[in-house]
Order: sequence, then C-alpha cells, then structure tokens
Amino acid sequence: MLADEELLTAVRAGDVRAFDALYQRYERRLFGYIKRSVGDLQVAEDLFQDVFFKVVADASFDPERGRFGAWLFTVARNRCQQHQRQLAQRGAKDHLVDTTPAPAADPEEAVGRQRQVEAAMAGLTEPQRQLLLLKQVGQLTYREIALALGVAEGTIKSRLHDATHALRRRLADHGGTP
Amino acid sequence: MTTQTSPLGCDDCTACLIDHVFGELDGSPGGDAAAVSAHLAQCSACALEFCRLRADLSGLADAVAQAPQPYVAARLRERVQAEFAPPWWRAALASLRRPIPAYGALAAAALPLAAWAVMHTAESSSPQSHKADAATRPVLIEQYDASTVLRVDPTIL
Repeated sequence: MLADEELLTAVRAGDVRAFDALYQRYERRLFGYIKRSVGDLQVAEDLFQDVFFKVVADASFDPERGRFGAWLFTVARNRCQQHQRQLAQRGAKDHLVDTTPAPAADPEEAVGRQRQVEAAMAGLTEPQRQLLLLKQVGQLTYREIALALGVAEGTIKSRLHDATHALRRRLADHGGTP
Repeated sequence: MTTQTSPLGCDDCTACLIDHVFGELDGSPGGDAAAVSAHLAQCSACALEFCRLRADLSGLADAVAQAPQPYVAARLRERVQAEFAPPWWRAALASLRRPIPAYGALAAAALPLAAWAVMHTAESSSPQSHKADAATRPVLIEQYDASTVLRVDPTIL
C-alpha cells in the first residue's frame, strides 16, 4: 500500500486515481472532525472541500518534515478556528454549535452507543474535545498535537489523560462502561 | 487486581494504559509497550480495563467519523482534476512513453514491413522500373507476328 505522501505526489502529477485513494483514507475522519468542530452541515462541507484541496494543492507541505495526515488535521483545525472567529466577529455566536451538556430528559432516550458518546462529548470542555478529536479521529501523535497547538509535549500528554478520564466518567454517567 | 506475574505491576500498568491505547509507548522489543502487553497477557483485571478503555476511545472515533455527501467528493475530484490533470497531448505522450513490453515487439514486427514498403515504393516510382516492366510485359495477341516463336510450357501438355 502506498504511503499518503506517495499518493500526494502522484495526485500532484495528475493521477486522479491517487486522489481517489487518498480521499477514501480521510473522508470520514476529516469530515467528521470538521462537522463536529463547526456544527453546521453546509459549512462543514465547504470547509472540508477547502481544506482538502488546499492541502493537496499547497506545495509548501514537505513530506520530509511530517506526515500528511497530521498536516491535514492541523490545517483543518486552523480553518475551523478561523471560521469560528469570523462568526464571533459578526456577532453570530448564536449560530455556533451548542456544545453545552445536553443530558437526555429521559435516560431511556439515550439509547445506542453513539448517543452515549455524543452526550459524553458534550460534557467536556472545548479544549478537551479538541484534544480527543485530534488524537482519536485525526490520529495525531502527542508530538504532532504539541506542534500544532504550540504546547509542550508533556502538557499535551497530561491534558489528554485528563480528557480521557473526563470522557470515561461521563460515559459511565450516561450508561456506558463503568 | 491479581498477583503480579510479570515485571510490571498493576499500578504501573494502569498508569500506562492510556498511552498504550494511544500507541504512544515505546514499541521496540523490550520497550514499555512490550512490558504492558506482557502484563495484560497475565492479568485479567488490567486486561479488562484495557479493553474497556480501548472500546470507549474507539467508540468516540466511530461516533464522530461521518462521510460527506457523494456530490462533495465529485466536486472536489473535479477541482483536483482541473488543477493537476495534464493537457491531452501530454497525457497521450506519456502513454506512448510508458514502458510496455508490447511496444518493443510491435516495433520489431513493424520494422521489416516498413522497410519493404519503402523499398517497394522506391522501385515502382523509378523510370527504369517502367522500362523493365515494358520489356517483360507479355505480347498482346493484336501485336502477334507469325515470326514470333511461341514458347509452350511442356508441363501443361
């Protein structure tokens, strides 16, 4: 199986099949990450296309200096943050995703693993959510997250441990594993 | 927790579990990942905790992952194609340059044919060949003269 960086080189040389392969590897994770970060489906679709195209077309990405996946999610994170800043400047904060905890009125409604995770995620702080998303969905290493956020690697490790414990506590509260 | 049957204790293992699930431990032989794996293989309590932790974290990834609508992929593909696809003449040239063994065989087969065609064309277009044709052309019956000796092929008799 070709590495992401090899596929990227092939895409830039005009091989559309290489693009298809690269797209399939990342579409679900990247779109899920962006959708989760911005909330709105239409905005998520636009940002997803912009981010993917930018990373593929941007010749400044150097495969010698890092993984394609880490670069992709770092660009996606920055783009999502930029979008949210623009929204905030327009005074449209009410359009932002409601990330406050939203416990189900009736515990019986909270059926299904996905809903449990959704509810548990909603109970985390935004930095905790971002860290867990970058780690689990983006599959970045501690070091890559540290570089992306401009924070020490040890700090990222410590914060990720805290976020994981917090997620598991909330999962247990919502009927997940104890 | 169970009794310790490996160099790593349960407390030490528990402290490493998150890093282990995240794939951040030293994966080299004899590294931390190997020590945790060895402990998990012998300690059911830690192994259960490991499985629960891994399920919780993978559940998060599964819950978040979501494919965009198919038209998103189609639009993006068009954009990439327009940006990077080479012009038709360069694509055709590239396909010709492609190292396919059949091209060599095809060229080897076509070479004698092409040489014959060139030689044949050259012969038929030269004036001398026209004269030679006239000399060897059979005598028409109207031009027959009794003095001409007919040669009869004995094999047809």
